[in-house]
Amino acid sequence: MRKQIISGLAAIAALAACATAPEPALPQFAADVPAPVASVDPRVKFKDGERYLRDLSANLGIPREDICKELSRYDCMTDAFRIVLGGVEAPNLLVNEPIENAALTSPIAVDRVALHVCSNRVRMDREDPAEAVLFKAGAFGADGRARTPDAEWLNATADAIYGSILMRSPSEREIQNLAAYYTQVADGRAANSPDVAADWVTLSCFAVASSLEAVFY
Amino acid sequence: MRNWKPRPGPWLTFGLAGIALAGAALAPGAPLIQTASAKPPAPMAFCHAYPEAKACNTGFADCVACHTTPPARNAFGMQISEKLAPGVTRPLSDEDFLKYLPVALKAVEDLDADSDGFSNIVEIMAGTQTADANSVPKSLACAADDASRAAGAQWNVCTFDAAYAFKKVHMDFCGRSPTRADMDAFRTITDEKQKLARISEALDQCLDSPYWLGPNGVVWNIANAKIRPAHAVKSGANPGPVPLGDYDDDYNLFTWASSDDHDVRDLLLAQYFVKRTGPVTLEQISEEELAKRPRGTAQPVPKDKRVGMISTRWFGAVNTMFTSIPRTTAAQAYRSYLGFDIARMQGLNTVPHEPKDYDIKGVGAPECAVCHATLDPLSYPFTRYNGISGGYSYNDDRLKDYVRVDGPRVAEAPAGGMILGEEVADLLEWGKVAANSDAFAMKVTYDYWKLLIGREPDVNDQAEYTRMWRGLKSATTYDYRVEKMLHDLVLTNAYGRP
Amino acid sequence: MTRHLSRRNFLRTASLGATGAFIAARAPQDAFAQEVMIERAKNPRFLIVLSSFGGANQVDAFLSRRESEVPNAKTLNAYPDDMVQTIGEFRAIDMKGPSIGAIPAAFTANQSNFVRKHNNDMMVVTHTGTSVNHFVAQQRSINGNAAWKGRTLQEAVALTYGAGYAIPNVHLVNGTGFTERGTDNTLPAYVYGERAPTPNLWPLSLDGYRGIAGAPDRKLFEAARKFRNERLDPPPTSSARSAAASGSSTGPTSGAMHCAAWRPRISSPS
Repeated sequence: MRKQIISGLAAIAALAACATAPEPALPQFAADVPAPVASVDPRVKFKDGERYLRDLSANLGIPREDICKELSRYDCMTDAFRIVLGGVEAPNLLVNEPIENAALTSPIAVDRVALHVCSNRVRMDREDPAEAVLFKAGAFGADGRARTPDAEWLNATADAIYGSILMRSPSEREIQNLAAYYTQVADGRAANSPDVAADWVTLSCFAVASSLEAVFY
Repeated sequence: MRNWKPRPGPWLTFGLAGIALAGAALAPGAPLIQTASAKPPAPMAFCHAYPEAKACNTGFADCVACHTTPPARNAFGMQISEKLAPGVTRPLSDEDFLKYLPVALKAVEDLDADSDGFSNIVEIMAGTQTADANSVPKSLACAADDASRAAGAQWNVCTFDAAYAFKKVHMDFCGRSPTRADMDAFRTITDEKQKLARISEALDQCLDSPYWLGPNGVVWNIANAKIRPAHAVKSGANPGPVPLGDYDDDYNLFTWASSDDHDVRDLLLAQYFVKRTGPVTLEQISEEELAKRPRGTAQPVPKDKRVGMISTRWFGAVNTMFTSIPRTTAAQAYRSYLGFDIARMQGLNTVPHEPKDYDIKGVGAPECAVCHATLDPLSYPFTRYNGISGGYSYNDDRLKDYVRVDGPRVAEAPAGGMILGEEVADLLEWGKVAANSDAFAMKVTYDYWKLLIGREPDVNDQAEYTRMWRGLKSATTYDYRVEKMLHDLVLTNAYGRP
Repeated sequence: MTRHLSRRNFLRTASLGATGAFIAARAPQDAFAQEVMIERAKNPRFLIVLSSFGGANQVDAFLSRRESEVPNAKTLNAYPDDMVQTIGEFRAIDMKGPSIGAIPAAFTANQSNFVRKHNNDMMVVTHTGTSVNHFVAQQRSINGNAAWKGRTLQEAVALTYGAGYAIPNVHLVNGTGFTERGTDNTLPAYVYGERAPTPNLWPLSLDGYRGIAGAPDRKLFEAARKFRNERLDPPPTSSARSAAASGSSTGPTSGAMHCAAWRPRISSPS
């Protein structure tokens, strides 16, 4: 695993020097993991917006009432997207049961919620590094000089993201995926920029938080 | 009201059964033209014969069990037809039809209407279509090598996975995932019995959570379609602009009867009301306290006339409203607590010589009587309970106030009626018959099953679903305690197999 | 362009804005049919359905009768002649009262302003029907008791004129039979009503990025979606799909879970 991380980082370093580069491709992995057995009776349930936000709130350390607000005022679930995110509101909206079929806007609403939450978390981490949950400064040397995030930092951050959102450790493949994704986020910017690192954390958080595993159970 | 979603299965059955029907019609000796007339009691009669068939999960079979487009029969229906009261003059009366149907069903059990290799009785019990060769019973067992691979995966999709069930219990009953520490600790347990005990422990805690029991919680929201709140006309706390009644009483009673060691039949038997004393705590209201309520939230029906959820002020306000013979009220009660939606021709149990049409609404016309021969006698016991006009009270002479509008015969409508084929003297007896019926147990179980499993009971769920609702009725099993049933439900394969 | 658009990329396609592109994806391949749909989309009709229920009766508004016109004026819903205004093809009544029948609620109704403003764009559709079940009666009023394969009025209009629009059928009202989906499952998916239960905030749900403070650049956000879709949530392979369909227990899955169509569950507290 260490060799793969280092080679991935070598790719990051090489690409960071490029002023303009085409979108870097993510590494292709050999089919070394056996295919899982398909369920003979597949059923998954949507977490619905309230449970989704409660999980994120508990695991990312943001109070439920603050975790996601549209236009800085309206709670994402209670006010903005309650019905399309699987909620009910019988006395006023006459919606007695969750909608049977996902609305067109349901997956977009999930993406919005995930992006709100992750942007919030990283912003809070940058404002108060001592209480950081996802974006921890360690990539940057004690002398204050920024340096390209190293394997240890990438691993730890990937672990923090998966641990917080999916409540498990990432597999090797998942770590490699996220580490290699750093080059896409850098996208012609200096790889050792704290903003790039923050963007990578935000977007990795977003990708994991809006993944099927996070949204269904 | 149960969601009315078009089901592709029956429509596919229509097409294929149509082909089967045409084939049958072309067979030597088969009639080219069928004569038949509608038999609304047939779905329930089918389920009297096969109460544990998948088609009878709701207490009544779909018409597609025997028909393509009613009254045209599919291949299975044709087989029954050949055995049904041979020699008796057609069309059969409803009484004759119901009398001879069980024998005819028995006679065709070992036949195979769709020639798919599975006999009719096997398919009926399995829940597959007897007249559709593409619909065959399936096994959910994994192949041996898949089973061993699945056992080593994150989730074991070939069997009940205790870790998966542990996580689901938290999501479904507590409204959140277990913490990572809890999940990791669970995974260290090796003894299966200990795992199940841990699941049960988690469930116990979550059943007392605000997410499950609180206002606007899970149990509360199950009642939405039964209570049909409308804030615009709410009285009491947080009233609407036109306060007519407070549905909080209804929600609290529903939550009470569905929780702890309470008998869920109190939904139709309770003669008390319940108040909320905390986020998850409820207690019965004394009659003295109830009597002190202001006019806007009073419950005027006297204690000895109360019938649980179906005689509350709110129920009368939104269903009976200003009606003499409150058919909508009876239909809503039938739908909500027994699962029969008469508007969709479910639960029809024709009563001879009905409807009498006491209020001259024209319900005696043949096309109306199909439903009203069940609905009207179902409604008579509700006629002594006022809605908005009459102040939500009980009044034996109530119908006299409707003579001017509905004609003199309306005052002759009896207080007694019929439900599920049984005569009842009043609404109290109506409630008792309903509460003790299979349909009630099925409906209660169905509501939680659909919520927690994520779908209606399926072909492969029959054994477990039947065990749940029969257990609910049994004094030695769950004894009408919802939480006891839930403790077993979360240990079923339907719940815990990923 | 694929003919079957998944929900996740639907609005990305919508942002192309090209009517022809839409219709090419939605219409049958017949060139003439596509031509017809493009022409209709250029000159659309916008149907706005106003619904009223709970005792309200629009016949008492736009088609109200004067007492002098009705033989049994005392028994039927007729109004004093001077209350009924004729505006264009329609009628209007302005009134106020201390109660709505036996319901103790004061009200004021001003229909004439509305009719005066909109009568050139109004259509009042009557139907003869009955059901004591409000929900069923509402459904029947917009589907004619399944007169046309179970399609609703809104679905029919969306089918005829809506091929060039991302969301041609939107429901701002929920929980009534007026906005329930019809029973004709042969219609293309875009025709069925999209729910907008909170209209003032609903537009936010049309874009996964706009208005989110502190988010990285939009380009990066779109790349993140792609990363998630391709690396974290790879779609099942065709072999997995056919394996699942046949009930076989082999084949790769995403986390051993299939998610063909998700159904939100009851149990969401407010």
